[in-house]
Amino acid sequence: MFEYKTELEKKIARSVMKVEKPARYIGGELNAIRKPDDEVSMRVAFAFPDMYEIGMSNLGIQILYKVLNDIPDVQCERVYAPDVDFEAIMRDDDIPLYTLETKRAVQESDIFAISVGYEMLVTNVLNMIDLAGMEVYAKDRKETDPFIIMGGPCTYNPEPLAEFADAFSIGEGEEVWPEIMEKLREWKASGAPKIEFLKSLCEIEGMYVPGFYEFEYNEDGTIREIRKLYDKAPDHIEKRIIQDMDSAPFPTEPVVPFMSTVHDRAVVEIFRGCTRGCRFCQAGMIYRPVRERSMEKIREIVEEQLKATGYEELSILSLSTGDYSRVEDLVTDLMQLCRDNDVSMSLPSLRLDSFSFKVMDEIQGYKKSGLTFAVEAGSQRLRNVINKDITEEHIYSASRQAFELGWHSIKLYFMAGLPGETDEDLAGIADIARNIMNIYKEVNGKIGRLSIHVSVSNFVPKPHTPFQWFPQDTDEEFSRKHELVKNLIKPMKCVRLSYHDSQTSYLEGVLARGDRRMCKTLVEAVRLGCKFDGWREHFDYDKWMQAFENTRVDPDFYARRAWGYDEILPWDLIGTGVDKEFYLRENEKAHRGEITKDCREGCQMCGVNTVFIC
Amino acid sequence: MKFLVKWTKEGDMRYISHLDIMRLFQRAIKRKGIRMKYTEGYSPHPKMSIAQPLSLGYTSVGEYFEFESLEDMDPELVRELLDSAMPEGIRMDSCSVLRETKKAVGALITAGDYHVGIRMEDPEGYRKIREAARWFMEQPSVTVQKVQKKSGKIKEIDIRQKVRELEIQQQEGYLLLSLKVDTGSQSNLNPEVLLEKLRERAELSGGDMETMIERVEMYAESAEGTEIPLYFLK
Ligand code: SF4
Repeated sequence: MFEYKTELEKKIARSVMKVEKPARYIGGELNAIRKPDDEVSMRVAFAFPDMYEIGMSNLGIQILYKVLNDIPDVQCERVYAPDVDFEAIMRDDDIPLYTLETKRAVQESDIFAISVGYEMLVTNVLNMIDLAGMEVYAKDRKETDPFIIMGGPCTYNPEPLAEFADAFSIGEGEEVWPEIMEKLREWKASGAPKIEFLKSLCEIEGMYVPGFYEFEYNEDGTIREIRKLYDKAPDHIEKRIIQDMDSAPFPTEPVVPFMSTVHDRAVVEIFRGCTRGCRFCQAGMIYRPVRERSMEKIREIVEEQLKATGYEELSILSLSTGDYSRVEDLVTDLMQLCRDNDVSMSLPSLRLDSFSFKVMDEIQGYKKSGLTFAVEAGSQRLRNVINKDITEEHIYSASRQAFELGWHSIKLYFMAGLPGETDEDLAGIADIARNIMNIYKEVNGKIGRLSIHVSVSNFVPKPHTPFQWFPQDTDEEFSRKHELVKNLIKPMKCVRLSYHDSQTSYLEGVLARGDRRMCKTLVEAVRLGCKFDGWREHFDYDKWMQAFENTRVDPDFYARRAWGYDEILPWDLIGTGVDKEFYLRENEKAHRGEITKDCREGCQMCGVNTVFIC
Repeated sequence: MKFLVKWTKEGDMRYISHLDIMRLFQRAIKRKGIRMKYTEGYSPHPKMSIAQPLSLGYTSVGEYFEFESLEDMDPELVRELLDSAMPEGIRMDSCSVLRETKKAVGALITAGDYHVGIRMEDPEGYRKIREAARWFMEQPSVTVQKVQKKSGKIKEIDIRQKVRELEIQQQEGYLLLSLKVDTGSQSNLNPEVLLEKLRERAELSGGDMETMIERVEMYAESAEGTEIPLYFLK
């Protein structure tokens, strides 16, 4: 009755009943992979540094979990950030960060992989390394500690994490990870010191070993030079991608959580990349070129997934679903498949044409959740500046059509703080809401059940975008802009406004364009107690500012400065395939208010096709 | 066709909540291609229920759930299919067919068997617990106070009446209490409440002991008025 396989398992069992949602910490889910110990020669602890229910919803982890476990003698195990209640017990009872599959201390694995999905996770990254019982700085870690390899969208600018990671995997991981494991196998057999493994990683494209580079700075704080410390380290690290989506591995037997998670459903990725070229959008740049999965393959994946999971809902994933080349056929086909299997389907952003209305009319629940438009800016002029291809005529005619079909709610997404934005552009947000309200009145005779939700997020300039040089608004400026929109919207009772927290956006902006000098700030922030910064109830702005002050790093230098075209950028070592020249050209066109067409209608020479196949 | 499945919940599965188990079963049924009957109405949900939810943290070798399928199937095949769809720690032990008209099995439950394991550093503690248990069984009534969920009022409950059998055996490294207690919607006793009373009587604290609670079987009243294990229900 009281038997446990290991001392650690016993400690865990005794602790989890004391915390909220014990299901987060025990593993054992359907389709979780646990190999017999004697078949395993390499162990990878793969972490997503947020709570279980967020991490489990991350598709990237599920893909790499499959890729790694498909290698017969590799055991890949999942790790998520414990909530604060469990962390406290872990620290009290000396429970180290452990993996869900075999409940081993992370420190016992060969590689501790961490996927950094967004900027606000950086403190969790450090906290998890610490919980695992390791030193956070790579240089201080022991020869017996696992290698820490980071990846994920946030590492397209790896520098704020550079002193903590042994290596970064830049870009898509499907092909890289088996290569890393081969190097690891060789290294383990050789018995050489850890540095040799890191050197061998330099032979793999897309691998960045930050310890092999040194940054020097000018008086004014800008970067003077990036120097290599190991001559065989690459001069430039180009991201890795999967060129052919049909042969790319995709989880057909994903781990099915017991507890409900953020995306608790079957999911199939239909394509990667986006051709639209919105100038503020990092995803639109770093995931180039567009690569589609064939309809046949998508169907096959969905069928297998439903069979292996018993999920009651399917969703399809991509940047702008409506751009799939055979979207109508695909959606019709999948809807039929779902009907046959008693499965409901959820569809993200379709372009609003007659087809999509037919589809949405069929999909239950759509009317309730309402129509969604990512308008982004309140005037055509500003939409041209950011290259957002949506017109008000389109929004209005689609709204009218929706209202005539009996819809009552609409969601509008905007950004504040865009380059070249004026108060008139912001007033335009309220105008659009008002015009939609009037259309509803025309159709229905009264305002009645109409509800319009206006969501305003704060623009954060991101690396690898045309706006990477742009000074971000101050939080006072953001707040003033929110007020302005709020006052204009107030008289309209059917319009609800929500906006993002300005301080969070500011910090996100600082971290996004940070460099190595910020590493010590992160350590200090963690020391002061910062964690789960993406969670409103945990985010502590004052502690962060304290951390900057204590480490003499000026956050404004990163977020609020107009960066120069001729500056060396902290992420210049990292390549997305897109030329810096292209970003520069696009930024200049933005100044002039010129648009750049969707590159499906003609190549815009971004440079991606010189490295990959478009 | 209506099925009654007896199942077990062991190891780490004891941390999986009632709601999560429901979802797990629904998905397992779906995965195995068994088509469930749904309730009518605005938001249809599958006709399925788990009898007498188990407290989080308890294991069990005597759990039951019932569900209705659209098509008739061999109950042993249903058992096999579902068993093969379960994670480690959950086993489908047996499956039988119930009359369609039968009301929910959960509502018929009257009693349950439990095993309670107690482990203590100090062997003297074992003696104290035995003593307390003997005392308990000798009393005509033992009351505890319970805070009513809704009103917040405090109510006196006689828990002695709810304990039908209590046996104690010393096992290798722990004390084993075997209980038969009132279980179900009419009268119910969570073994933890009894344990708390024994602890209090023995002047021990929760920190002195490590406990494990396992449900072993559940009973219902048969048509003849006798108490029978649930799996005998037709
Ligand atoms: S190379 Fe041309 S077609 Fe390819 S992504 Fe860039 S602009 Fe588009």
